[in-house]
Amino acid sequence: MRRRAAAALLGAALLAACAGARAQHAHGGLGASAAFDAQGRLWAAYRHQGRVAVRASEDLGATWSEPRFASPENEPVAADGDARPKIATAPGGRVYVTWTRPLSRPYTGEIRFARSVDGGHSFSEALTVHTDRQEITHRFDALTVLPDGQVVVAWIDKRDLEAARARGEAYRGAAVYAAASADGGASFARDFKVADHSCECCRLALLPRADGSIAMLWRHVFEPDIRDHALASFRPDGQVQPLRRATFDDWRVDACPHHGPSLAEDAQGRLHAVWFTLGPRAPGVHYGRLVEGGVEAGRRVGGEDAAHADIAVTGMRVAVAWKGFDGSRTWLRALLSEDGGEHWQELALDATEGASDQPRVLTHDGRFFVFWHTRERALGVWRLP
Amino acid sequence: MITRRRLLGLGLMLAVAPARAGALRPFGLGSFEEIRRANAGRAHVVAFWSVTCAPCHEEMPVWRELRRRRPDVPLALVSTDGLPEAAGVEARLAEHGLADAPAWIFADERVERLRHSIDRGWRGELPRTYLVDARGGTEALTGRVQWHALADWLARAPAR
Repeated sequence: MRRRAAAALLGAALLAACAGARAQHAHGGLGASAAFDAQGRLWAAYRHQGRVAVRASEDLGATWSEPRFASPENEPVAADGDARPKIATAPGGRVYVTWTRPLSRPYTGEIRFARSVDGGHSFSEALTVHTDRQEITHRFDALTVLPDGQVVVAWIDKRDLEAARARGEAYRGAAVYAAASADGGASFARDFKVADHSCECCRLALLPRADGSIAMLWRHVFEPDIRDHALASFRPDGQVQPLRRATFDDWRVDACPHHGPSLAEDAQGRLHAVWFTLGPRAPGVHYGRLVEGGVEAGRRVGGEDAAHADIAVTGMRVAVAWKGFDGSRTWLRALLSEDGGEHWQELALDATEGASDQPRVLTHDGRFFVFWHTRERALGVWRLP
Repeated sequence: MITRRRLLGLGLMLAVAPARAGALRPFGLGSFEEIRRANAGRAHVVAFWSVTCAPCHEEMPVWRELRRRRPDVPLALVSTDGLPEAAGVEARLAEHGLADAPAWIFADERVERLRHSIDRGWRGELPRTYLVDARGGTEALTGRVQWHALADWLARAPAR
């Protein structure tokens, strides 16, 4: 992809001159996640003092409990961009947390897991989810809990790439592996492959379904170098349905977009997604319902600067949140649909001048909440109408 | 002349940069413009990369090649990783034989603002490369740059 950028650069230079050199020290790692439990308590996991901290809020994010650490001392934790600690809850005061522990060689890591069985007061000793212990890429963990209580973790894994390399063969992208725990996170069964040829650096979207399967949406590398999205369904025992192409933007690029998709399901079982592309037809963030061979009710989300959208559905109501930088502030915006994605209302929620994480949309009791962790407002929560 | 200006710049940077950044220079809101100004009138390359980006890793030999074959074309390597990752960034540069290449590291956690100060069309995908000709004409490339693309550009870019 090639673009003339001279005009933009001139404008940018003027802006830079006005903004001055008020460089802040990079603290790094605003990546955070949040999840409701059945009682309506909101849980958040984020990197604090270099460790995964977990806090709970009884009042929808107005106040938060003191942080409890879920990761060991002196263990590095990835918390930038599409890599961030994940949190999920289950009945009986269970709180599950995953994170990626970067190892010393570039792009290498381990997927780590810890749980609390006492309402977040204490966390178990961390365990490594995968049986594969090579010092290679295991990164970009995703976490979900199925209706029957099984805990499923998926991640981007380069064991197949490394094996191909050792044979002197080429391998497109990375792979996605997963592992499940049938004992509430005490242990994980052997990891299995969900798909070959994923993009190397974008978050995965997991969706637990009523039939006990998991739908997964991720940025794939279709031949020869098309980084559109793929959808697959798998079961915690390792049964995997063949993937199908889910988005058709034809973004051909040999690059890391660092920009993964999000997936949700409505009361009719239809899949709603948001994703980012710089494909030739319509670069930007998109919403659509994923149907066999195409996208339904597709629309652009936000303007040219829209980024890192997240989606949630409750019944037939759909909410999308995203952020965008207008040259001076980063905006948090949302789209709301009452009819399964046919008609939309746009809302401006907030803006910040400082650094910010990607926003997440959560549902609880038929209502939507947007969670946004920023330097200015830690663990912020906005309730949608 | 350029060298002297660079040395001066480096001296200033060292004075304000935290010790952990080592030889890396902090990249802030005005840095892209400073790099372009320092190299005005000659073709040069500004390459953005990250230690967490596999295509960036695969691209690095092209930059070593550029420095070897066209020492007259200044190269600025900018890591988007942020100051806490400085040690890893330096290790990667050294691994690729680029320890002595002029290198910067993002020193402002407001990365959207930083990207906007470089090119508002850049959405954060990596590697991202700016090929600037002697007249200031700029081409932005997303994805791994191959030597033939670079050689093509060098052949057709106005030399003055």
